[in-house]
Amino acid sequence: MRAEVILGFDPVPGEASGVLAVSETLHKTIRALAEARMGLDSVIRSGSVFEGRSGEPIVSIMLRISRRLLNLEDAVVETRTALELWRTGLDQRQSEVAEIVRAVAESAGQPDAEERRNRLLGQASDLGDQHQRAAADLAAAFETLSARAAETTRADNALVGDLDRALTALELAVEGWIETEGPELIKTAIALGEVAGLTTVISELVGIAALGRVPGEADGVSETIARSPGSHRLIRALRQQWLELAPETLPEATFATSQSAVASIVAGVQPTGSDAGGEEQDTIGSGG
Amino acid sequence: MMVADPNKGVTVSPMPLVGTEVRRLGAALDEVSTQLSVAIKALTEFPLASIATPRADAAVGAALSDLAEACGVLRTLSDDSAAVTTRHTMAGAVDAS
Repeated sequence: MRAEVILGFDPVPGEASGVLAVSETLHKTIRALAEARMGLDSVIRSGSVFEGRSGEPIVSIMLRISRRLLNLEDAVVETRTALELWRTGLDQRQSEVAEIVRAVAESAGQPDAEERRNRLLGQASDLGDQHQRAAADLAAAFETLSARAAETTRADNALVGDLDRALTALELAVEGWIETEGPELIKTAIALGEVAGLTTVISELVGIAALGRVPGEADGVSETIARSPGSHRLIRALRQQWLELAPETLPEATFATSQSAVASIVAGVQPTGSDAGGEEQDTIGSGG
Repeated sequence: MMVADPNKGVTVSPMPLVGTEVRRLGAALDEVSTQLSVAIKALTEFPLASIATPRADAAVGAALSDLAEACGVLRTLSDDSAAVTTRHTMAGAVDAS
């Protein structure tokens, strides 16, 4: 029985299925925002290669994106909470109105039921007032969401340029580190028995775990590691006695020669990659 | 620093020490973009029914639209940031010339 027909008006308008659809959409949005944020956070979390002075600006910039995602996510979560409150109230009020509609319909044609009908209509009107107040709260919640979304859309024109500069600075820091630590790096690489190139030294050092060696075999390794702009992972490996970092977790690096051109330059000799010896292209993966 | 291998005609730039990590950062930014696309699709591709009073319905419709726009702005930001990381890791690419 339709309230409009029996009562002359619907005091509690609203489609429950529509509420559910909005709720599911907000849920999908929350999940997407959370996935996006957590993926980004996992790359810059404590212990990542970006930990430390050289990587800190990059972490800071990524956090600017992450915080925007989180702010939006929080706003949607709060709005969905308000929507769920609305849904609960809507169900309850519509159930009560359905009872009133049924009672009013049953009283039709009964000459002595006028007073009862008026009382029921009064109850329906009260429910309508409650409904209007709850709807105003719902509207306010979504208006707040609009405002917080607008905050997110405010341009951060500097971010991309900042990231570019931070990455350039990191590269310079790494180059500076190679220049400073070159001899020690070569010594370390030789000590590991595989001069695969400076660019794999970190992988090699971490991969030492898989080779069953111990850090102390290469003099100065830990000191070199400690000064590296991207040394945290190695420091962590040292602290874990080289046992817990599996080689498959390490990055792969592809090189044209078995002897690194970088290593050769740092060592003061010409790169050997173009030699007739024809070194094969090595793929050095995971330091193993 | 380029190294030529005449046997294979492949030119390789040694990968920067942090190249892999920067690429991982770029991949995370790509994933941000992908997830935001999922959110935008969800927000823009469902029929909005009347769920309350006209004022509340209008607020809901406007908020979902604003939310989709915000996700779009963040997606552009992550796309642009990912492009920067790609540019910084290009030195590690193998150019089969």
